[in-house]
Amino acid sequence: MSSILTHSPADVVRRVLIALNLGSLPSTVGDWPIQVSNEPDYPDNLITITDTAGITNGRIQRTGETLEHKGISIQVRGVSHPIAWAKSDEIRVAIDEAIKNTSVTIASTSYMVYSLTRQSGPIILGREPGTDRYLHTINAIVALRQVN
Amino acid sequence: MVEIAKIKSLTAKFKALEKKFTQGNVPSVMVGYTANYAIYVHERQAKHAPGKQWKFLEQPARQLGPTLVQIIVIALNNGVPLLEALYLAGLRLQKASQKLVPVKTGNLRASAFVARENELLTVAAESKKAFKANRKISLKAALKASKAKKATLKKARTKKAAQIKRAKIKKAKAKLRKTK
Repeated sequence: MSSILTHSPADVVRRVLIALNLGSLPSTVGDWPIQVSNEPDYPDNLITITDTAGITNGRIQRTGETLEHKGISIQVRGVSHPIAWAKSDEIRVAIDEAIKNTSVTIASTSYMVYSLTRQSGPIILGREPGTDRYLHTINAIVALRQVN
Repeated sequence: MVEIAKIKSLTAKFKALEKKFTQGNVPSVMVGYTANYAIYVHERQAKHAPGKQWKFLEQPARQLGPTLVQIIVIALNNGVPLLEALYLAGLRLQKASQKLVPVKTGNLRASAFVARENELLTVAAESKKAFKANRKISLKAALKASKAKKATLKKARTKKAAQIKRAKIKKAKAKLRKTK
């Protein structure tokens, strides 16, 4: 059986990024709050992680388990281009180099993040209409499992 | 240490197969949208009409993976060259993507393309031409609409002026009758 996830992959990746000091929980005071799925108008500097379509890699014949890399999209919104770029590049480096076999815990549920693979990005989307804030996006797939 | 037996001969077989189907150079096909704002609509999560969504190309590409492989395999087994087999798979992906793409004016949906690698320059030139033609058409339509609006306004104004004139004459006549 495929492992059931109590929290969404976006939520798990958020905890991984927080553990790497790349952002903070929206409930705490921090420079770069990381939201999951919704994007509030305030503050200007914000990271939003959204779940997207994953890639199915087939099944294990003996157990019937479906193997899937879950898709996520990380959007960085910054008040200026250099600020947004610096943060998105920091996240890119973390995805490419720092995250492997990382374990995170969300409310007593543990997850093992085996890998986070960048698919594209940072893609520069330009200015947000109406506010002139800069938007950058990184797409990635994540291999993870709920441990308990 | 675990070793895979006969791995060298297997690799050689795969290489021979690759050479057979590609004739030296690896062909590729590109599926995309030429509208310059396509990336923004694709990457930005927003509210869209039911059945329409962001990630309108990425999602079907990921979900249709096995189907696309099957299309390519069937085509190759029927003697179709690899480039054409890839093109067929690209068309299938384009069709799936165009069902999901958000539609406001239809320009984004119409800008979808599948191109063999050597056709990319032609696609770029065609899209530039189409964009110019579209702009010409939309400018003409805007001019026509503005002329029609002006004519309607003029008509309305004339009608109102005539009404006012009639009312004034009626008032003057009534005043004259009263004085008599």
